[in-house]
Amino acid sequence: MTKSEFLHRLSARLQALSENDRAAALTYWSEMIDDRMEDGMSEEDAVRAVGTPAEAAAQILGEALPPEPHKPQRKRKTWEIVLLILGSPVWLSLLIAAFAVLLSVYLSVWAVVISLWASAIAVTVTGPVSLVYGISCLIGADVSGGLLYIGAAFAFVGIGLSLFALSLWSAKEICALTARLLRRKNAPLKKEKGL
Amino acid sequence: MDIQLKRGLLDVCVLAAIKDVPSYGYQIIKDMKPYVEMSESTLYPILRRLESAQLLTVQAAEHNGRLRKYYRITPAGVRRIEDFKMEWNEILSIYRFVTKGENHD
Repeated sequence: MTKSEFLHRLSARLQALSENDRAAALTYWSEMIDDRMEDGMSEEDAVRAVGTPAEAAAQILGEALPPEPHKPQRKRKTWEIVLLILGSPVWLSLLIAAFAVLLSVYLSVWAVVISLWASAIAVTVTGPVSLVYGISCLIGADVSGGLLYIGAAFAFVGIGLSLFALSLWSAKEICALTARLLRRKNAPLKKEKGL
Repeated sequence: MDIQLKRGLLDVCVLAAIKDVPSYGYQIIKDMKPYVEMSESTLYPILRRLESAQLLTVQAAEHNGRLRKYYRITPAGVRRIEDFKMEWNEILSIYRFVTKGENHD
């Protein structure tokens, strides 16, 4: 191999490097070959003495990491599967129990929302009833009673409407949270009360 | 020999080769030859490592119509050699202790 052939082959193997790094390496090896020739070696011998382009490239690019110890994957997998099946009465029932707990917690959250709705309806309905009763008081010359019940009617409707708003908001929030949790878990659980 | 250990040792060898006078690649290899076999391939990453650690500096000088790179040790490089000598005194003591009973007179 001639010097230029050596350098050409080396350059080809160093394509991964930056221009600067590649040029620096080529300069180094060119110099090494020149020095040996100056020492009296022929070009052939000098090139042979500095090693092969492959060796040079290997050192330049950095020592290769030792290969990853290859674990026999197959053996492990069947062993694992057998264990999983054998243990299933335990872990499967635990999993179902955990799931049931989560589900009941989730449903009780919704139960709260439903009761908010129920309260809202109840309170709002009380409003007109109170109003009617208040008017009847006025008609029956019970002014203080009448005013009390008419005032209370407005209060009931106000509170009722706030409860409506609250239950609507919480329902929306829970739906949004549910959607986010489901997306994160990535595994589609039973379709919960989500929109 | 342990690869990391050898790498560290060869680093110090190269530094020692340029301790007294700046030298160039091929000359370093020739100087080390009676003691340690080193090839261009092995030397190159060592020189680069020592340069980036600032244990030596590189200068190009003209020689017979071409440029040749000369490597010069830095004060930090000299310190590295001294550290190495101290470390090895320790190792020698340990070695002497370990082989204490094994010397047959």
